[in-house]
Amino acid sequence: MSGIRTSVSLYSLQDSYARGRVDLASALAFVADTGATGVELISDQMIVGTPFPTDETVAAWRTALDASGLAPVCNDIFINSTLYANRVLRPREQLELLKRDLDVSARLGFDLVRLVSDTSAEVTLAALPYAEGLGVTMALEVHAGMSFDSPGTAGWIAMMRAAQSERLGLVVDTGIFCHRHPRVSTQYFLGLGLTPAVATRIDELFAEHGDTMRLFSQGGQMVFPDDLTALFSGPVDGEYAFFSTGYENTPLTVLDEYAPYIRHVHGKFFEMTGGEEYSIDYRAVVQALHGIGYTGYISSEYEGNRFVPVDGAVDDQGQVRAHQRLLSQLVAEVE
Amino acid sequence: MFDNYVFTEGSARNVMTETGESAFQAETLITYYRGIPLSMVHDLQLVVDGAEVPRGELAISPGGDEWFMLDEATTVTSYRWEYGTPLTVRWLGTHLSSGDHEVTMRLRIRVAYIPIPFGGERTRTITV
Repeated sequence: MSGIRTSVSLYSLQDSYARGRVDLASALAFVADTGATGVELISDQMIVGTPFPTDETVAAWRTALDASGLAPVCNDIFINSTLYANRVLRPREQLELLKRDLDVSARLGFDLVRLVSDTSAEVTLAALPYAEGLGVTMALEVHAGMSFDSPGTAGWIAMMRAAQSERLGLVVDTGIFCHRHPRVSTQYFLGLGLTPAVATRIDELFAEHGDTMRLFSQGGQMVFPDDLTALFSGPVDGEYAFFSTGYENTPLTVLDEYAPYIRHVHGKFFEMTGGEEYSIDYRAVVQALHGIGYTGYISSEYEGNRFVPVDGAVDDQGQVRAHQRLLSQLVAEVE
Repeated sequence: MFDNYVFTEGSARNVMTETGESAFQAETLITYYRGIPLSMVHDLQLVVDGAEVPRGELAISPGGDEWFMLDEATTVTSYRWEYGTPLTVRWLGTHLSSGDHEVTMRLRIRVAYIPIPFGGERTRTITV
Protein backbone atom coordinates (compact mmCIF):
# COMPACT_ATOMS: atom_id res chain seq x y z
CA MET A 1 0.00 0.00 0.00
CA SER A 2 1.33 3.39 -0.98
CA GLY A 3 1.30 6.53 1.14
CA ILE A 4 0.21 8.54 -1.88
CA ARG A 5 -3.05 10.44 -1.35
CA THR A 6 -5.45 11.97 -3.83
CA SER A 7 -6.98 15.41 -4.06
CA VAL A 8 -8.91 17.45 -6.61
CA SER A 9 -7.89 20.83 -7.93
CA LEU A 10 -10.85 23.16 -8.21
CA TYR A 11 -9.30 24.15 -11.53
CA SER A 12 -11.14 21.05 -12.73
CA LEU A 13 -14.51 22.56 -11.86
CA GLN A 14 -14.00 25.95 -13.52
CA ASP A 15 -16.89 25.44 -15.94
CA SER A 16 -19.24 24.12 -13.26
CA TYR A 17 -18.45 27.18 -11.13
CA ALA A 18 -18.65 29.76 -13.94
CA ARG A 19 -21.97 28.34 -15.11
CA GLY A 20 -23.42 28.14 -11.63
CA ARG A 21 -23.65 24.33 -11.39
CA VAL A 22 -21.65 24.53 -8.14
CA ASP A 23 -20.76 27.19 -5.63
CA LEU A 24 -17.72 26.99 -3.40
CA ALA A 25 -19.41 24.90 -0.68
CA SER A 26 -20.99 22.43 -3.09
CA ALA A 27 -17.74 22.18 -5.03
CA LEU A 28 -15.98 21.07 -1.85
CA ALA A 29 -18.79 18.62 -1.06
CA PHE A 30 -18.44 17.20 -4.58
CA VAL A 31 -14.69 16.76 -4.17
CA ALA A 32 -15.18 14.88 -0.92
CA ASP A 33 -17.80 12.68 -2.59
CA THR A 34 -15.31 11.57 -5.26
CA GLY A 35 -13.25 9.86 -2.56
CA ALA A 36 -10.48 12.46 -2.58
CA THR A 37 -9.16 13.46 0.83
CA GLY A 38 -7.70 16.81 -0.14
CA VAL A 39 -8.53 19.87 -2.18
CA GLU A 40 -6.44 22.30 -4.18
CA LEU A 41 -7.72 25.85 -4.51
CA ILE A 42 -7.11 28.74 -6.87
CA SER A 43 -7.85 31.63 -4.52
CA ASP A 44 -8.12 34.02 -7.48
CA GLN A 45 -10.88 31.81 -8.85
CA MET A 46 -13.30 31.15 -6.01
CA ILE A 47 -12.33 33.39 -3.08
CA VAL A 48 -14.02 36.71 -3.76
CA GLY A 49 -11.86 39.75 -3.05
CA THR A 50 -8.52 37.93 -3.22
CA PRO A 51 -5.91 38.90 -2.18
CA PHE A 52 -7.87 40.84 0.45
CA PRO A 53 -10.97 38.73 1.13
CA THR A 54 -13.10 39.84 4.04
CA ASP A 55 -12.97 37.92 7.30
CA GLU A 56 -16.51 36.73 6.51
CA THR A 57 -15.36 35.29 3.16
CA VAL A 58 -12.46 33.50 4.81
CA ALA A 59 -14.75 32.17 7.56
CA ALA A 60 -17.21 30.87 4.94
CA TRP A 61 -14.36 29.02 3.19
CA ARG A 62 -13.16 27.48 6.44
CA THR A 63 -16.70 26.43 7.41
CA ALA A 64 -17.24 24.75 4.03
CA LEU A 65 -13.80 23.15 4.18
CA ASP A 66 -14.45 21.77 7.68
CA ALA A 67 -17.85 20.45 6.59
CA SER A 68 -16.23 18.64 3.65
CA GLY A 69 -13.58 16.98 5.80
CA LEU A 70 -10.98 17.74 3.09
CA ALA A 71 -7.39 18.69 3.78
CA PRO A 72 -6.31 22.04 2.26
CA VAL A 73 -3.46 20.71 0.14
CA CYS A 74 -2.28 23.56 -2.04
CA ASN A 75 -3.31 27.03 -3.18
CA ASP A 76 -2.39 28.03 -6.73
CA ILE A 77 -1.19 31.60 -6.93
CA PHE A 78 -0.07 33.98 -9.68
CA ILE A 79 1.89 37.20 -9.85
CA ASN A 80 0.06 39.63 -12.09
CA SER A 81 3.25 41.05 -13.58
CA THR A 82 1.24 42.14 -16.65
CA LEU A 83 -1.00 44.37 -14.54
CA TYR A 84 -0.36 47.26 -16.93
CA ALA A 85 -0.40 47.15 -20.71
CA ASN A 86 2.68 49.32 -21.16
CA ARG A 87 5.18 47.58 -18.88
CA VAL A 88 6.02 44.53 -16.82
CA LEU A 89 6.10 44.99 -13.06
CA ARG A 90 9.58 45.35 -11.59
CA PRO A 91 10.85 42.72 -9.15
CA ARG A 92 10.08 44.81 -6.06
CA GLU A 93 6.51 45.34 -7.27
CA GLN A 94 6.16 41.62 -7.99
CA LEU A 95 7.48 40.85 -4.51
CA GLU A 96 4.67 42.84 -2.91
CA LEU A 97 2.06 40.95 -4.95
CA LEU A 98 3.62 37.62 -4.01
CA LYS A 99 3.57 38.52 -0.31
CA ARG A 100 -0.14 39.34 -0.55
CA ASP A 101 -0.88 35.94 -2.06
CA LEU A 102 1.20 34.22 0.60
CA ASP A 103 -0.85 36.10 3.20
CA VAL A 104 -4.19 35.07 1.77
CA SER A 105 -3.01 31.47 1.41
CA ALA A 106 -2.08 31.34 5.09
CA ARG A 107 -5.39 32.93 6.08
CA LEU A 108 -7.22 30.21 4.12
CA GLY A 109 -5.26 27.49 5.94
CA PHE A 110 -2.69 26.46 3.32
CA ASP A 111 0.95 25.74 4.07
CA LEU A 112 1.79 25.11 0.39
CA VAL A 113 1.41 27.37 -2.62
CA ARG A 114 1.94 26.51 -6.26
CA LEU A 115 3.87 29.23 -8.06
CA VAL A 116 2.89 29.36 -11.72
CA SER A 117 5.56 28.54 -14.31
CA ASP A 118 7.75 31.51 -15.22
CA THR A 119 7.65 32.93 -11.70
CA SER A 120 10.89 34.85 -11.20
CA ALA A 121 13.61 33.12 -9.19
CA GLU A 122 14.78 36.53 -7.97
CA VAL A 123 11.32 37.45 -6.68
CA THR A 124 10.83 34.05 -5.07
CA LEU A 125 14.16 34.26 -3.26
CA ALA A 126 13.32 37.77 -2.04
CA ALA A 127 10.01 36.45 -0.63
CA LEU A 128 11.58 33.43 1.06
CA PRO A 129 12.10 34.97 4.52
CA TYR A 130 8.46 36.14 4.45
CA ALA A 131 7.24 32.67 3.45
CA GLU A 132 9.37 31.06 6.12
CA GLY A 133 7.88 33.43 8.68
CA LEU A 134 4.36 32.44 7.63
CA GLY A 135 5.22 28.74 7.44
CA VAL A 136 4.20 28.53 3.78
CA THR A 137 6.17 26.53 1.20
CA MET A 138 6.52 27.98 -2.32
CA ALA A 139 6.70 25.31 -5.01
CA LEU A 140 7.22 26.07 -8.69
CA GLU A 141 5.01 24.24 -11.17
CA VAL A 142 6.97 22.19 -13.68
CA HIS A 143 4.52 22.27 -16.57
CA ALA A 144 4.62 20.94 -20.12
CA GLY A 145 5.94 23.58 -22.45
CA MET A 146 8.09 24.89 -19.61
CA SER A 147 9.52 21.69 -18.20
CA PHE A 148 12.83 21.02 -16.44
CA ASP A 149 15.01 22.05 -19.38
CA SER A 150 13.39 25.39 -20.13
CA PRO A 151 15.62 28.31 -19.08
CA GLY A 152 13.16 29.87 -16.62
CA THR A 153 12.42 26.60 -14.85
CA ALA A 154 16.09 25.57 -14.81
CA GLY A 155 17.07 28.95 -13.35
CA TRP A 156 14.42 28.71 -10.63
CA ILE A 157 15.57 25.19 -9.74
CA ALA A 158 19.19 26.39 -9.52
CA MET A 159 18.03 29.06 -7.05
CA MET A 160 16.11 26.41 -5.09
CA ARG A 161 19.10 24.10 -4.88
CA ALA A 162 21.34 26.93 -3.72
CA ALA A 163 18.89 28.26 -1.12
CA GLN A 164 18.32 24.83 0.49
CA SER A 165 15.16 25.88 2.30
CA GLU A 166 12.38 23.55 3.38
CA ARG A 167 10.06 26.29 2.18
CA LEU A 168 11.00 25.84 -1.48
CA GLY A 169 10.06 22.95 -3.73
CA LEU A 170 8.44 21.76 -6.94
CA VAL A 171 4.96 20.84 -8.16
CA VAL A 172 5.22 18.35 -11.01
CA ASP A 173 2.40 18.52 -13.56
CA THR A 174 1.88 15.14 -15.21
CA GLY A 175 1.25 16.85 -18.54
CA ILE A 176 5.03 16.44 -18.96
CA PHE A 177 4.43 12.67 -19.26
CA CYS A 178 2.16 12.58 -22.35
CA HIS A 179 2.87 9.62 -24.59
CA ARG A 180 0.56 10.95 -27.30
CA HIS A 181 -1.26 14.11 -28.27
CA PRO A 182 -4.68 14.50 -26.58
CA ARG A 183 -7.33 13.64 -29.14
CA VAL A 184 -9.91 15.97 -27.56
CA SER A 185 -7.62 18.84 -28.52
CA THR A 186 -7.30 17.47 -32.06
CA GLN A 187 -11.06 17.15 -32.40
CA TYR A 188 -11.54 20.69 -31.12
CA PHE A 189 -9.08 22.18 -33.59
CA LEU A 190 -10.52 20.13 -36.46
CA GLY A 191 -13.79 21.89 -35.67
CA LEU A 192 -11.99 25.22 -36.05
CA GLY A 193 -10.63 24.30 -39.46
CA LEU A 194 -7.42 22.40 -38.69
CA THR A 195 -6.13 20.59 -41.77
CA PRO A 196 -6.57 16.85 -41.06
CA ALA A 197 -3.18 16.04 -42.60
CA VAL A 198 -1.51 18.37 -40.07
CA ALA A 199 -3.20 16.52 -37.20
CA THR A 200 -2.04 13.20 -38.62
CA ARG A 201 1.53 14.45 -39.10
CA ILE A 202 1.69 15.80 -35.52
CA ASP A 203 0.60 12.37 -34.25
CA GLU A 204 3.33 10.78 -36.38
CA LEU A 205 5.94 13.20 -35.05
CA PHE A 206 4.90 12.33 -31.49
CA ALA A 207 5.38 8.66 -32.30
CA GLU A 208 8.72 9.25 -34.05
CA HIS A 209 10.30 11.73 -31.63
CA GLY A 210 8.46 11.19 -28.32
CA ASP A 211 6.85 14.62 -28.50
CA THR A 212 7.00 17.74 -30.67
CA MET A 213 8.60 20.05 -28.10
CA ARG A 214 12.02 18.45 -28.44
CA LEU A 215 11.72 18.58 -32.23
CA PHE A 216 10.36 22.11 -32.67
CA SER A 217 12.24 23.94 -29.90
CA GLN A 218 15.54 25.22 -31.23
CA GLY A 219 17.50 27.77 -29.23
CA GLY A 220 14.40 29.23 -27.62
CA GLN A 221 12.56 29.50 -30.96
CA MET A 222 9.78 27.32 -32.33
CA VAL A 223 10.84 25.99 -35.71
CA PHE A 224 8.45 23.69 -37.56
CA PRO A 225 9.92 21.11 -39.98
CA ASP A 226 9.40 21.74 -43.69
CA ASP A 227 7.41 18.55 -44.18
CA LEU A 228 4.92 19.87 -41.62
CA THR A 229 4.64 23.46 -42.84
CA ALA A 230 4.12 22.12 -46.37
CA LEU A 231 0.78 20.82 -45.10
CA PHE A 232 -0.34 24.16 -43.60
CA SER A 233 -3.31 25.74 -45.34
CA GLY A 234 -4.64 28.17 -42.70
CA PRO A 235 -3.81 30.00 -39.47
CA VAL A 236 -5.23 27.23 -37.26
CA ASP A 237 -2.56 24.80 -38.51
CA GLY A 238 0.37 26.79 -37.11
CA GLU A 239 -1.51 27.43 -33.89
CA TYR A 240 -2.18 23.72 -33.47
CA ALA A 241 1.47 22.89 -34.16
CA PHE A 242 2.54 25.44 -31.54
CA PHE A 243 0.08 24.18 -28.92
CA SER A 244 1.23 20.60 -29.55
CA THR A 245 4.43 21.49 -27.69
CA GLY A 246 2.32 21.88 -24.56
CA TYR A 247 2.26 18.08 -24.21
CA GLU A 248 5.70 16.78 -23.41
CA ASN A 249 6.88 13.21 -23.07
CA THR A 250 9.55 13.43 -20.40
CA PRO A 251 11.05 10.12 -19.21
CA LEU A 252 9.64 9.23 -15.78
CA THR A 253 13.19 8.70 -14.56
CA VAL A 254 13.39 12.49 -14.26
CA LEU A 255 11.53 12.06 -10.98
CA ASP A 256 14.53 10.30 -9.42
CA GLU A 257 16.69 13.41 -9.62
CA TYR A 258 14.08 15.76 -8.22
CA ALA A 259 12.54 13.43 -5.62
CA PRO A 260 13.76 15.43 -2.59
CA TYR A 261 12.08 18.58 -3.88
CA ILE A 262 8.67 17.33 -5.05
CA ARG A 263 6.05 18.77 -2.72
CA HIS A 264 2.95 18.12 -4.81
CA VAL A 265 1.77 16.59 -8.09
CA HIS A 266 -0.82 17.90 -10.51
CA GLY A 267 -2.60 14.93 -12.05
CA LYS A 268 -3.26 16.63 -15.37
CA PHE A 269 -5.80 14.88 -17.54
CA PHE A 270 -7.57 15.65 -20.78
CA GLU A 271 -9.88 12.72 -21.43
CA MET A 272 -10.89 9.80 -19.27
CA THR A 273 -12.03 7.00 -21.53
CA GLY A 274 -12.67 3.39 -20.57
CA GLY A 275 -11.22 4.05 -17.12
CA GLU A 276 -7.89 5.30 -18.48
CA GLU A 277 -6.44 8.66 -19.47
CA TYR A 278 -5.97 8.86 -23.22
CA SER A 279 -2.56 10.55 -23.25
CA ILE A 280 -0.98 9.78 -19.89
CA ASP A 281 -0.08 6.33 -18.54
CA TYR A 282 -1.14 6.87 -14.94
CA ARG A 283 -0.17 3.37 -13.89
CA ALA A 284 3.43 4.14 -14.81
CA VAL A 285 3.23 7.60 -13.19
CA VAL A 286 1.91 6.27 -9.87
CA GLN A 287 4.45 3.45 -9.86
CA ALA A 288 7.28 5.92 -10.50
CA LEU A 289 6.07 8.25 -7.74
CA HIS A 290 5.80 5.31 -5.36
CA GLY A 291 9.25 4.24 -6.43
CA ILE A 292 10.80 7.51 -5.29
CA GLY A 293 8.98 7.32 -1.97
CA TYR A 294 6.49 10.08 -2.73
CA THR A 295 3.78 10.29 -0.07
CA GLY A 296 2.11 13.57 -0.99
CA TYR A 297 -1.05 14.23 -2.96
CA ILE A 298 -1.89 13.84 -6.62
CA SER A 299 -4.51 16.43 -7.54
CA SER A 300 -6.90 15.68 -10.38
CA GLU A 301 -6.54 18.62 -12.77
CA TYR A 302 -9.00 18.37 -15.68
CA GLU A 303 -8.04 20.34 -18.75
CA GLY A 304 -10.31 18.72 -21.31
CA ASN A 305 -12.90 21.38 -20.46
CA ARG A 306 -11.31 23.84 -22.88
CA PHE A 307 -11.59 21.44 -25.80
CA VAL A 308 -15.34 21.01 -25.67
CA PRO A 309 -16.94 22.35 -28.88
CA VAL A 310 -18.65 25.74 -28.58
CA ASP A 311 -22.01 25.25 -26.88
CA GLY A 312 -21.12 21.64 -26.02
CA ALA A 313 -21.72 20.37 -22.48
CA VAL A 314 -18.67 20.15 -20.19
CA ASP A 315 -18.82 16.98 -18.09
CA ASP A 316 -16.13 18.14 -15.70
CA GLN A 317 -17.67 16.40 -12.70
CA GLY A 318 -18.00 13.06 -14.47
CA GLN A 319 -14.43 13.32 -15.72
CA VAL A 320 -13.10 14.12 -12.24
CA ARG A 321 -14.95 11.18 -10.72
CA ALA A 322 -13.46 8.85 -13.35
CA HIS A 323 -9.97 10.20 -12.73
CA GLN A 324 -10.29 9.80 -8.98
CA ARG A 325 -11.47 6.21 -9.47
CA LEU A 326 -8.39 5.51 -11.57
CA LEU A 327 -6.03 7.15 -9.09
CA SER A 328 -7.48 5.32 -6.11
CA GLN A 329 -7.16 1.97 -7.91
CA LEU A 330 -3.56 2.63 -8.86
CA VAL A 331 -2.57 3.91 -5.45
CA ALA A 332 -4.06 0.78 -3.89
CA GLU A 333 -2.19 -1.43 -6.37
CA VAL A 334 1.34 -0.21 -5.81
CA GLU A 335 3.42 -2.02 -3.24
CA MET B 1 -10.47 27.71 -26.37
CA PHE B 2 -12.46 30.11 -24.24
CA ASP B 3 -14.90 31.19 -26.97
CA ASN B 4 -17.68 29.47 -25.05
CA TYR B 5 -17.52 32.17 -22.40
CA VAL B 6 -17.72 35.19 -24.69
CA PHE B 7 -20.99 37.09 -25.19
CA THR B 8 -23.63 35.51 -22.97
CA GLU B 9 -26.71 34.35 -24.82
CA GLY B 10 -29.76 36.49 -24.15
CA SER B 11 -27.76 39.30 -22.53
CA ALA B 12 -27.93 41.89 -25.34
CA ARG B 13 -30.47 44.68 -25.00
CA ASN B 14 -31.06 48.43 -25.08
CA VAL B 15 -30.98 50.12 -21.67
CA MET B 16 -31.12 53.55 -20.08
CA THR B 17 -28.05 54.13 -17.90
CA GLU B 18 -28.18 55.42 -14.34
CA THR B 19 -27.50 58.90 -15.72
CA GLY B 20 -30.35 58.69 -18.23
CA GLU B 21 -28.20 57.99 -21.27
CA SER B 22 -29.22 55.47 -23.92
CA ALA B 23 -26.95 52.48 -24.31
CA PHE B 24 -26.80 49.08 -25.90
CA GLN B 25 -25.29 46.44 -23.63
CA ALA B 26 -24.26 42.80 -23.55
CA GLU B 27 -22.51 40.55 -21.07
CA THR B 28 -19.55 38.19 -21.18
CA LEU B 29 -17.79 35.81 -18.85
CA ILE B 30 -14.03 35.96 -18.54
CA THR B 31 -11.96 34.06 -21.12
CA TYR B 32 -9.80 32.52 -18.40
CA TYR B 33 -10.14 30.45 -15.24
CA ARG B 34 -9.59 33.00 -12.48
CA GLY B 35 -10.44 36.57 -11.59
CA ILE B 36 -8.15 39.44 -12.58
CA PRO B 37 -7.78 43.15 -11.90
CA LEU B 38 -9.73 45.09 -14.51
CA SER B 39 -6.54 46.60 -15.95
CA MET B 40 -5.64 43.16 -17.34
CA VAL B 41 -8.51 43.36 -19.81
CA HIS B 42 -6.24 43.98 -22.78
CA ASP B 43 -8.86 44.76 -25.36
CA LEU B 44 -12.56 44.46 -25.97
CA GLN B 45 -14.24 45.05 -29.29
CA LEU B 46 -17.87 45.19 -30.30
CA VAL B 47 -18.84 44.93 -33.96
CA VAL B 48 -22.48 45.69 -34.77
CA ASP B 49 -23.82 44.93 -38.23
CA GLY B 50 -20.32 44.94 -39.66
CA ALA B 51 -19.13 48.22 -38.11
CA GLU B 52 -16.72 48.30 -35.18
CA VAL B 53 -17.90 50.46 -32.30
CA PRO B 54 -15.37 53.22 -31.51
CA ARG B 55 -13.31 52.24 -28.46
CA GLY B 56 -14.06 55.58 -26.83
CA GLU B 57 -17.77 54.78 -26.72
CA LEU B 58 -17.41 51.52 -24.78
CA ALA B 59 -17.73 51.24 -21.00
CA ILE B 60 -17.36 48.11 -18.90
CA SER B 61 -18.36 47.01 -15.43
CA PRO B 62 -17.99 43.75 -13.55
CA GLY B 63 -20.94 43.60 -11.20
CA GLY B 64 -22.57 46.82 -12.40
CA ASP B 65 -21.75 49.13 -9.48
CA GLU B 66 -18.80 50.97 -11.03
CA TRP B 67 -18.32 51.78 -14.71
CA PHE B 68 -15.09 52.48 -16.58
CA MET B 69 -14.44 53.61 -20.12
CA LEU B 70 -12.04 51.14 -21.77
CA ASP B 71 -9.10 53.55 -21.58
CA GLU B 72 -9.88 54.25 -17.91
CA ALA B 73 -9.96 50.52 -17.20
CA THR B 74 -6.28 50.21 -18.19
CA THR B 75 -5.33 51.76 -14.83
CA VAL B 76 -7.93 50.04 -12.65
CA THR B 77 -5.86 47.67 -10.52
CA SER B 78 -7.85 47.46 -7.30
CA TYR B 79 -11.22 46.60 -8.81
CA ARG B 80 -11.42 42.94 -9.77
CA TRP B 81 -13.37 41.09 -12.38
CA GLU B 82 -14.24 38.07 -10.29
CA TYR B 83 -14.36 34.65 -11.89
CA GLY B 84 -17.94 33.69 -12.71
CA THR B 85 -19.14 37.30 -12.60
CA PRO B 86 -20.48 38.64 -15.92
CA LEU B 87 -18.76 41.73 -17.30
CA THR B 88 -21.29 44.13 -18.78
CA VAL B 89 -20.19 45.98 -21.90
CA ARG B 90 -22.07 49.15 -22.84
CA TRP B 91 -22.04 51.07 -26.10
CA LEU B 92 -22.92 54.49 -24.76
CA GLY B 93 -25.18 56.92 -26.56
CA THR B 94 -26.89 54.37 -28.75
CA HIS B 95 -30.02 52.31 -28.95
CA LEU B 96 -30.12 49.63 -31.64
CA SER B 97 -33.15 49.81 -33.88
CA SER B 98 -35.89 47.22 -33.61
CA GLY B 99 -35.23 44.02 -35.50
CA ASP B 100 -32.30 41.65 -36.01
CA HIS B 101 -28.65 42.65 -35.68
CA GLU B 102 -25.41 40.74 -36.04
CA VAL B 103 -23.20 41.47 -33.05
CA THR B 104 -19.62 40.25 -32.50
CA MET B 105 -17.80 40.56 -29.22
CA ARG B 106 -14.03 40.05 -28.99
CA LEU B 107 -12.22 39.92 -25.68
CA ARG B 108 -8.51 39.63 -24.94
CA ILE B 109 -6.78 39.59 -21.58
CA ARG B 110 -3.13 39.64 -20.49
CA VAL B 111 -1.67 36.81 -18.43
CA ALA B 112 1.81 36.85 -16.99
CA TYR B 113 3.00 33.43 -18.13
CA ILE B 114 1.52 33.49 -21.64
CA PRO B 115 3.54 35.67 -24.02
CA ILE B 116 0.67 37.21 -25.98
CA PRO B 117 -2.78 38.43 -24.89
CA PHE B 118 -5.42 35.81 -25.56
CA GLY B 119 -9.17 35.47 -25.36
CA GLY B 120 -12.05 34.62 -27.61
CA GLU B 121 -14.84 35.95 -29.73
CA ARG B 122 -18.44 35.19 -30.46
CA THR B 123 -20.96 36.40 -33.02
CA ARG B 124 -24.66 36.25 -32.35
CA THR B 125 -27.71 37.39 -34.23
CA ILE B 126 -29.84 39.25 -31.72
CA THR B 127 -33.33 40.63 -31.92
CA VAL B 128 -34.13 44.00 -30.40
